[in-house]
Amino acid sequence: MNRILIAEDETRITSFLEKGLRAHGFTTMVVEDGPTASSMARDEDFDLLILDLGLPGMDGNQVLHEIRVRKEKMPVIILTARQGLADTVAGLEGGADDYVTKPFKIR
Amino acid sequence: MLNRLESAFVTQRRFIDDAGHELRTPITIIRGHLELLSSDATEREETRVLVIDELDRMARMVDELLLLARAEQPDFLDLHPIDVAEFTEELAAKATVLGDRKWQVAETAPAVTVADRQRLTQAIMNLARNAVEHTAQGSPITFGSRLVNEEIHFWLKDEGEGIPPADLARIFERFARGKAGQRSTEGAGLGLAIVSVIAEAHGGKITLNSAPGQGSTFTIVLPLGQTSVGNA
Repeated sequence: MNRILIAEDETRITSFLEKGLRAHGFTTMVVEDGPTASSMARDEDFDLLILDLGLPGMDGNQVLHEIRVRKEKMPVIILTARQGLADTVAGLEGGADDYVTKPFKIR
Repeated sequence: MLNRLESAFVTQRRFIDDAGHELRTPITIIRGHLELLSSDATEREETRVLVIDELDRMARMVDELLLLARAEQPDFLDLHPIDVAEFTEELAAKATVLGDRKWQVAETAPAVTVADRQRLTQAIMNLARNAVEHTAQGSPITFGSRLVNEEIHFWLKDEGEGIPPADLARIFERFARGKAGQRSTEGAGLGLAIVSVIAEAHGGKITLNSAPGQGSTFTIVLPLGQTSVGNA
């Protein structure tokens, strides 16, 4: 339980996210667009997906939808700068396991 | 009436939502990098540069948001007569610092118009900055001003990649981006929205003629109501 896929297109966010997670002993991999996030989640063996909603190519909700339609059980944490209740509910109903709003604490 | 109110409400709501999103991104970046900052000297220096850059970005965004908010107030413009021909040459000269491009002036209108010199300069510099972002080094960017019927046109033409038809309609919207979701190096996607509100505050509008592979021509159209033809 230590391989994490990070789907986020802002490199200044992924850089500290990877650093923080690696310091806690996790192995991380970053993808920067929706279609790659979806195919990596399907083809590789990750224990967790950290998913930004505003991804190019295909947004995070759509990626989540594809993963859940394929019946993959991988836990998904949504990472977003949107704080609307409607967004949160949509994410959780779409099969997300948790929801983290930016800015967030690493520790 | 209710439909219009509702639509205005939705637009306003989305704007506030987008503004929050755009401001939270630099806050997240700054917070994350500071939280994990080690005692390594190189890393500290890199973080210092990054934090300042993100703060500058936030400061720019706050300025732009305040300008958009102020644009709806009656005293937004400071109107004075402007010699259009002289002003056109001045704009082209100012733009040269924006990037290594072939800056040129194709035509100047012999007219005096009443406008806010500072705001109009800001609008046209936003267009010039946008043109620089979408063209290669040494590529021509051309300024012009022209009297057309009852209007004065300030135009700026680039020979960049052009804008796909799907993006044409929304390019002047607040927080619109050329390429979906991408955070540009310059700003939050408010530059062209600002051009649009400045043109509208003058009783004018902004028009755009562009197609992929054919460059773009942006034109600020001001009504002749505030303009007089003369031997300026």
